[in-house]
Amino acid sequence: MDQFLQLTITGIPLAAVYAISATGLVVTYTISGIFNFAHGAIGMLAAFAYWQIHVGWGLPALPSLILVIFVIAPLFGALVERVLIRGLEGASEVVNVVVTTSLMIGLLGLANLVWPPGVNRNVVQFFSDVKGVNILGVTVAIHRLIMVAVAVLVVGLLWLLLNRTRIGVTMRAVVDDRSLLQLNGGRPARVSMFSWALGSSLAALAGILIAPTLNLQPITLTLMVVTAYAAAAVGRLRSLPLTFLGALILGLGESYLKGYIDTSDKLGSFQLDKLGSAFSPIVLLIAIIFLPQARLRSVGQQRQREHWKVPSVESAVLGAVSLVVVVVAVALLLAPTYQLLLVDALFFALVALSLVPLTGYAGQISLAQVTFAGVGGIVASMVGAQLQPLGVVVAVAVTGLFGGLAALPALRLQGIYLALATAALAMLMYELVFLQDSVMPANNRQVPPVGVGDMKVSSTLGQIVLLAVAFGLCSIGLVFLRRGRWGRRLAAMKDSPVACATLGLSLTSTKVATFAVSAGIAGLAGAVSGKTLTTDQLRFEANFPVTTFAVVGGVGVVSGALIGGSMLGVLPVMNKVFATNAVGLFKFFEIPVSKLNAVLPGLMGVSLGRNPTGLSPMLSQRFEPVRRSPVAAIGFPVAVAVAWFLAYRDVIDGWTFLALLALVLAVLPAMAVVLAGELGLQRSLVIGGIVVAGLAGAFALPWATLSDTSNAVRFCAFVGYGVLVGVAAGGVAGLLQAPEDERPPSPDMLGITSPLNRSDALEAERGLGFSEEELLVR
Amino acid sequence: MNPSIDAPVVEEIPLLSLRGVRAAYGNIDVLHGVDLDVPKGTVVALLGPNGAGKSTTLKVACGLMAAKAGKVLVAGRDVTGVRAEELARRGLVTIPEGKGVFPNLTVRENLIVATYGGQKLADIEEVAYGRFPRLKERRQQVAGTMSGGEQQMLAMARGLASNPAILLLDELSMGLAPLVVEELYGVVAQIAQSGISILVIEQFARTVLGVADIAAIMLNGRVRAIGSPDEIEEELSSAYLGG
Amino acid sequence: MALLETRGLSVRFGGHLAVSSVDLDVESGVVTGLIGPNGAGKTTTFNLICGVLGATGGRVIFDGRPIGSLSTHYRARLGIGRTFQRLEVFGSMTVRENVLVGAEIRQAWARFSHVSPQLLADGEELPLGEEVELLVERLGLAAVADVRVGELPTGQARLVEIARALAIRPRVLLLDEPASGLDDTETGHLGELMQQLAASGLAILLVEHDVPLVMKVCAQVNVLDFGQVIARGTPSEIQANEVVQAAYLGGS
Repeated sequence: MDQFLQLTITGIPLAAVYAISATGLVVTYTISGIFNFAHGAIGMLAAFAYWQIHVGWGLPALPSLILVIFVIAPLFGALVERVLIRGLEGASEVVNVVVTTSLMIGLLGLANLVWPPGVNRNVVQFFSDVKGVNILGVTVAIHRLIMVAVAVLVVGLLWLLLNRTRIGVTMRAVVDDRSLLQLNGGRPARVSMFSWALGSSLAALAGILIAPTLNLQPITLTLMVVTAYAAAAVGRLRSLPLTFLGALILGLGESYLKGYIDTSDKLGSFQLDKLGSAFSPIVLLIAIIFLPQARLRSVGQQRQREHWKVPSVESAVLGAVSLVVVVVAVALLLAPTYQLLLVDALFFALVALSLVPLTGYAGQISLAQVTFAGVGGIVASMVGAQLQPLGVVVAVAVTGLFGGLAALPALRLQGIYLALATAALAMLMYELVFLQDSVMPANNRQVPPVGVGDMKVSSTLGQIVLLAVAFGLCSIGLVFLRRGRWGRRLAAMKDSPVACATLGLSLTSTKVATFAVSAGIAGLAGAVSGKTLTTDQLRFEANFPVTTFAVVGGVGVVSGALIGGSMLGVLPVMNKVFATNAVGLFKFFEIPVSKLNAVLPGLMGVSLGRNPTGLSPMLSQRFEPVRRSPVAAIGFPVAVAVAWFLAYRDVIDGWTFLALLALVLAVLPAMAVVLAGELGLQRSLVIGGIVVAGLAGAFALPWATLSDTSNAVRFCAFVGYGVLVGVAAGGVAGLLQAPEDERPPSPDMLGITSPLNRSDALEAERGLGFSEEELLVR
Repeated sequence: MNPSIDAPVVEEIPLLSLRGVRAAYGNIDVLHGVDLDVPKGTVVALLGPNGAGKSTTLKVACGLMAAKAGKVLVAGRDVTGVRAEELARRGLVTIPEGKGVFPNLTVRENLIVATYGGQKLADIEEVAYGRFPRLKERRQQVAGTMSGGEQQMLAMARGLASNPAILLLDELSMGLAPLVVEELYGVVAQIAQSGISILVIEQFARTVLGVADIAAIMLNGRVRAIGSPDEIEEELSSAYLGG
Repeated sequence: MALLETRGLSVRFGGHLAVSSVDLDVESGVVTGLIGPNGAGKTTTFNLICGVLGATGGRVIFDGRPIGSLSTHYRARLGIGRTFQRLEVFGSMTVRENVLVGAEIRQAWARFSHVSPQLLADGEELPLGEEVELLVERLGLAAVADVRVGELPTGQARLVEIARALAIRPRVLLLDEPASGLDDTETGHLGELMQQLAASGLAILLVEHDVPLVMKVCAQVNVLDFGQVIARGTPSEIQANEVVQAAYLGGS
């Protein structure tokens, strides 16, 4: 009984912090309509900012707190709303999810960059020098009392804000009827911005309060957000009282589970001690299962911002064959360490490909694809190397089945709930399965090489070919399916679920089947990866970048998955090339280049608001002139082949080859237009100049990679060349494309500066109203 | 107050006018070129059956919906594409279809939201409660729990108190008992007396013809007839029931 | 007994009774009209019949069998097809593909349930592709068969919805404002098509605000106001009905 009491008393302050955090999440979601997956990361960043200001720079606690909670955090939230969220109007749910998950990854990377791990940072509890208070025989630290008090205060202040202030009343008005608010002259965009500022403040408050009881580690603090997701889901993302109930269940439940279960407790070989940390995803899943069925609604035709062409099977076959050829050609030029990167690139491309049927064709979201890949790898490994290739088949089947079953409860729901459910699944699998010693002994597991009998894929090159072939075959299969009945059905379902239902299609079974196919492809990726899987690679948050990159690449087409996945896979190349480089401003601050790649996925994802269709369709549109020009279409592969041969024979440096390739790709569309004689002489000369400069640069580049050049020279050379090519590509795109984009005019620009009211009208009626000049404005 | 329809109004710039407005929901074309003027100090009734495009016309006029083509002019100035909240802040007040109130806010809170027009809450309350004393008794009541008539009064009060130049009313009578509708249109007539220009959209034509100066009939996304209320009344039955 | 009946059908949204005790009889072989002012509950009634929305009271009876507990896709498999007031076409696909998807979905479930014969072909059973061509042609869409529906004007998109609904070979067809966006000639053709379909045995329930069209094609007309049926009868009875006049024109 004593222990129960003690655990209850430890659980309540925890629940209080969860409630604060979840409240912020709910407020932001109900008012702006965007579910902020990065909510926890904002709290984490705030905790670090507080540490920096208070401990690092020595400002007293109170001003530091005020600075972080009332100034930095709300400004940051408002900035995020202004820069990222406002552009999302009309974007699909997939893009909405990807933008905030990317933000989370980006912020995590940023924290690791600014506050490198490995340094011991401690935030002390408030009033840690004062003795705790005795409650029913249990000593409770003042800090924990403060947690509860702050939560109560937040509830009170929030109530006051929502009921007693104009902005609060307006926030409730937005939830009631957004357009009516506009008709009242209220500005929903400002309210939405305010809700992000408020949400960020609450996230900051929660982060700072919980930081002393956890380690000040970016990831631990960020993942506290899953608890907030769960509490918010209990409140159905809108009810604050139910959200508080959820927080209470989570705080107490976690406390009991951690208290009553010893690290050595086992059920058979299953270690039970992870149940405590798995509690929030469990609650999240249960809350989602008990949500009422999403109603089918006739929403009418919506303008779709995304649009993908369906390729023919022939072009898919051609693409697959060229992929294998190109990949082998590239691999032959690469040193062994870089070859491993190519393996990763293809592995991630295959995982990203698994999102094409699910997200691209059917419009459903999943944040658990890496988890599925992990399941595939582990199953293949359990079947064993002797039984290959049976292991691969079993792995695909098991993963597919698992994916279908796991998604079943969430599939009656749509959009954000599906994203949350898959996120919960990923978290649950990590905590409860991947951390088991019996599943991942010593935190890793070797996926056996694929082979038949004694013929095994053992070399890196073999592995590269295997993955490329797997990607090619799956792509052909997907394109084939997309062009057939099944694909038409998915496209129909994406266009209008309600119409499909009234034609007699069971939406649930169609989605389950799609989910199974998707999970199966991810499982295949794991089973043929030949990797040594580590628990770290299968972490909950490791799922986010794959989804992000798939969407950035263009998830509606297989080439988009290839582009997105390989970008993710080759990102670590920066670690190798710039291992010792850093960017900075004198000695004032300095960031190792190798760390930048932690931030990149975030930056990629948040760019989506502008181009939701992704890179691949954009590129194929840009290269359209090439297809029309036979000279360019034939000349390009020949030129590249010649360059490759020279590089292979070591006549030119590998870097020169890459630089040439980049150059060719950047200016090729323009060359096609020039060759077709569609451009004027002047522009043709400009393009010619760019080509010459690029060629010179390409041959000069190897000089910069010599070991005795300084870091700065090396870095500048690469960046400089990158900029040159980028400018060339951008300039060429500008030459080839017509400008568009139009903003709604502001009335102030139209000359209406003061309100028109009745007296104005009367005045106008007397013929004294507006002067002729004013009337002529526009 | 009621200028003769036959008198030329060419010289005067209408307070609100739509010129060749086309609009669509996604693919669904709803308006195929609407021309409509609301001269100063008049009540214009826009009538027509279901789906004729009346509400869409109003949505374009108040800025909630973008026109695919055509222009919206306020006092002769092109405001096409200006956002609804900006127009609202400049004296173009709209009471939307159904219930123009925030159902989960109290009466007083509804009036608080109305202060974005630039008026003080105290002034707004004075006007609102002065016009509709029943609202004063209910000021702490949640709007959604009031009767339909009271909600519509609140919506009107909100619109009035913000001292508009032009008032757009969409289906004031929807879901209300005839007596209440009559009362509301009595208020509309009073408002018109004070010189505010009003565009009324109404499916139930007879209720509104009594207060209108000009009436127009919409059919299939176009204004088919425009004239004095008497002239229009004769055409109504055939427009609605195809008799 | 009518093919499709509703008895005391009601649905409540919050405190608002959107459809209240609606009794409808939709007979095979004729077009039944359902008219009424804006917000009277016509589309909501459609949603209740085909199961897109759950009723809070009353029954939907199809072919003598209560179907109120079945989900939308099972009701479709029994033979209830519909179109939507706010278009629900597959905008990213061509006209032909839209109809094909309907036919393919039907073919998939037809193995498990009874399917009525084709409506527009005379007797013989056509292969899938030909059936689709026939539907496209009969709706006058042959010229735009390969155009993406998202690029079509409203009127034609509505015809695509009808063709797609016919592809599941329904026994009753619910048409929600099919003539809005059509010009007079197209409306004329649509009227003829509805009459032909009815003559071949289909039951049609038509919601339409083009009252002349309703009066021309319907055998029976139901008038809905405030969620209740306020009048029913032949077109001429409805036109003469004072209550209906008041509902449409208001007041006195």
